[in-house]
Amino acid sequence: METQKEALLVVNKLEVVYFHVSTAIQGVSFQISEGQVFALIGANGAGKTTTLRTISGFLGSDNAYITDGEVRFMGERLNGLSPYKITSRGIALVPERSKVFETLTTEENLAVSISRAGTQKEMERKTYEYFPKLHERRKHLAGLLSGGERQMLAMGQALLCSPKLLLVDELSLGLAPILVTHLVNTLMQIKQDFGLTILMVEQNAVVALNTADYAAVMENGRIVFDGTPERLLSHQDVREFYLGLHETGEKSYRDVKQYRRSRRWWG
Amino acid sequence: MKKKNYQKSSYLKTSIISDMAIIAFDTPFRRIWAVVGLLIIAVFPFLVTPFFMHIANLIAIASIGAMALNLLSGNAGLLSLGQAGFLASGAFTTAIMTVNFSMPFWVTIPAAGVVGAILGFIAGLPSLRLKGIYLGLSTLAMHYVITYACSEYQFWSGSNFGIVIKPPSIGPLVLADDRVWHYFLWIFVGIVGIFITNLLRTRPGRAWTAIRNRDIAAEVMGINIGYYKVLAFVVSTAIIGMAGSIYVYYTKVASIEEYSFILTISYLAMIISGGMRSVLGSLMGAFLITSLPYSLIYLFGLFEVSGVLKDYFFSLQSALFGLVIIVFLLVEPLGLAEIWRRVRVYFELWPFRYKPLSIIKR
Amino acid sequence: MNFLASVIVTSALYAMMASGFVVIYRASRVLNFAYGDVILLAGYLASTMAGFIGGSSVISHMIILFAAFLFGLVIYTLLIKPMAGQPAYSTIILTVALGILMQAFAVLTWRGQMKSVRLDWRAYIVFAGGLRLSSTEIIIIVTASAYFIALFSFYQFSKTGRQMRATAENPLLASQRSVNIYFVTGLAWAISIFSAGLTAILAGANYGVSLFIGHVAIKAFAVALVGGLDSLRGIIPAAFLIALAELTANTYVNPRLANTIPFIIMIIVLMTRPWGFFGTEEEIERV
Repeated sequence: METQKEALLVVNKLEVVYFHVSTAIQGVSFQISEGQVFALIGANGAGKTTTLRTISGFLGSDNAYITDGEVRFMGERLNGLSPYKITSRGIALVPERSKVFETLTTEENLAVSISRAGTQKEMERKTYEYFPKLHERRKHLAGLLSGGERQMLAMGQALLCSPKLLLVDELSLGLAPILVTHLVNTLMQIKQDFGLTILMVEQNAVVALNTADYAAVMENGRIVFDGTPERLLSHQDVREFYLGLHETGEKSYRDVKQYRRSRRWWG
Repeated sequence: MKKKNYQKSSYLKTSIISDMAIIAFDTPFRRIWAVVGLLIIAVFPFLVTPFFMHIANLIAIASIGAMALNLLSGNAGLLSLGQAGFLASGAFTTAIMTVNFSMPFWVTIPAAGVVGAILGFIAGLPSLRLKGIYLGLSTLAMHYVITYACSEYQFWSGSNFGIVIKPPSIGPLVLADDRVWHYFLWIFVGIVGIFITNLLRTRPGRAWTAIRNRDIAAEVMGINIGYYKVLAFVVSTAIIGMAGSIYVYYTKVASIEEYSFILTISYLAMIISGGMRSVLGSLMGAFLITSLPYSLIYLFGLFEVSGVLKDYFFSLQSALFGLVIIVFLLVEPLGLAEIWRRVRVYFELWPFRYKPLSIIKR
Repeated sequence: MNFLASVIVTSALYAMMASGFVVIYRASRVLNFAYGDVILLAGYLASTMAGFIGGSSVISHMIILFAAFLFGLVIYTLLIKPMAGQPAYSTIILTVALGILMQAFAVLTWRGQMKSVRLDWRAYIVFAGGLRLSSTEIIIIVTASAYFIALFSFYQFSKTGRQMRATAENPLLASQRSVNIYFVTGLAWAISIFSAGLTAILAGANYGVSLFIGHVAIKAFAVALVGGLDSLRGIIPAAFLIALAELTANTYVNPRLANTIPFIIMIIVLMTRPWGFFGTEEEIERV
């Protein structure tokens, strides 16, 4: 049974509009409880990254506005706050395509994230424990790191912000499968050790459903289906559209017309 | 007949031809306003004093230069700080040709365009290597070179305060009356406006939009970005040269002091306050910035300002100019055209609030 | 020997002014065209305030510097921060407009008079080898050195300096990494306007304040460009080079050419190596 305490992150009927005319998220609601690993899957353009951006406060730069609904983190409203305020409340983002500060060294990259000087050395040590490769490369300019190392650095940076909720945007993008598995395992280890909650956005539904405790499928700005991974995996449409497993042979997402997919979800 | 219980969307297009129509006239709202505009232009000279007539003519000339600059800096995204230089080139080409060679206007104006195009070609070459602010600086260097050459000519030709130019004439008909100028100028504005609009919705326009957005991606798509960048410069500066030529025909004097960096800033202020990438925006911006100093003169005349304050007129004018630009940039950075667009969209979509996901036409 | 000394003094002034451009360009990717007009206004204020307060001019100069620092914060908060999402040229036009406004104000208040700034130490020191420096020149050299040592150490070693470098590269990401980008960028503007105030006092003492002081700022812009618009390291060699070229032309050719030399060098650099000595090459492409 659910306890009385409110979930860690509550997204309530969120509506986000781009350029005053184009509704990117049309009424999305979900909850994440503490300690959960929550996955958002869906195709491109479904609004997953926009949701993540809304939560982390990145929206203003894209001419996008929250026109309805709210995001509550530990009871507090997050609408319209600037990113660094949101970070100070305990939400950190691992950005898409592992963006890091390229003109700074690895060390400096990590140092930038630390806002509370007290635990500085300790946390750096912890990061190097999880990602020994970074310790090797700590004096190198971040622009010279390989893709996998950058992703590690991005994760390390997010970790050093002492978050309670970690937002992971497309972890598997552009990385070799072995590396992805390794990173995901390290991520779960970190989650265990630090007691984090994770919201991950993934196009790679296999990775997502293997790791998550709870998942939601987004399509065209709405959540069309949610549940535990077992429930999703057993749903015929999820298997067909996102996992490429069709009873009557291989069929991929691309092969099924848009409107038919929408009918399937709604009709 | 059953009562219609649906509303035809004002931007629904049912045929290819109607979809390709010029944006200015595609909805009933816009068509009505286009007709109103034409009517205003037709009867305007009969309704106003010479003071306003003169201002209106200056606005028309400014809008030609503004549209061309908007093409270059707004649509193609190539920052140009050389506007005054190109205007001066057209002006002084006309001056040299009329004073020294007595050429008629239907030779000098195209010649000014050609000279502008050549200079624009030279100015466009750095754009193959430079981007953004650096490109702007090289156009600024161009501006200084051109104005230096023109000032040398003005000095050596002995006319220290400017070269006098006779108004254009065909035989006995002399184009000197402001009211007749009005019609000629607005016809010219219309031609340039339609030319630019057409250019923008065909291949060069699409290429420029691609280049402005991400030129490396444009190159990968197969667009020859070098060609189109230089093309943007050439087309724009040809029009600007002709605008400069028309300007000196109208004011009957060519004087290098007018073509300063501040003039370039005024034109940039026109397209920014009017709205970049928008032909209508250029017109609105030209209206705002050109009428600004005159509104100050009008205010002074209205309130019988004391003599001491009149000494500081120039500084006050500059201060007002700076202030207007700052206010505009802070309040509505997308310009007057954006305000107009919001009004228009409101009426088009009423009673709905949002367009569904579709192409945002600006 | 004295020639070398004047080159050093001139390059010191150029370098300080150029740092104002570079700091802002790194932080906001914008050219601050109002810089020359800030120097103008600060110079006039410095000369007037010294007479107003009386006594030692050090106090009035401190006030001016402090006010300049605050003014940088004000400009950022009121004008630059709201323009955050706009393309760079909009903000550049904004700074031009601000410059026009400030210049108009200066003309209205002081009516184009020539004034000079008082530094309380008037002496000529003679060093070995026949080197003769005025007290003002010594102050300039010492101040510039201290300023640059402070600036470099701040950027390289301090936490806030690191944050400034991170914000300069990627403001969004820095914001996500709990850097208060508004504070950091505002600080950059404050430092830049502070340097404008500092230069105004020093140049005003050495050359006097008049409407032409803005021209010196444009030469400093050429210095910033040659060194690399986003490079602090490039400022000093570029300043030295341009000062040397200009004063050589001044002594051996004629003053009019000397005035144009910085722009000639700027054009050459734009044509051949637009990112200057140490700037990043991101703005350039090859077709």
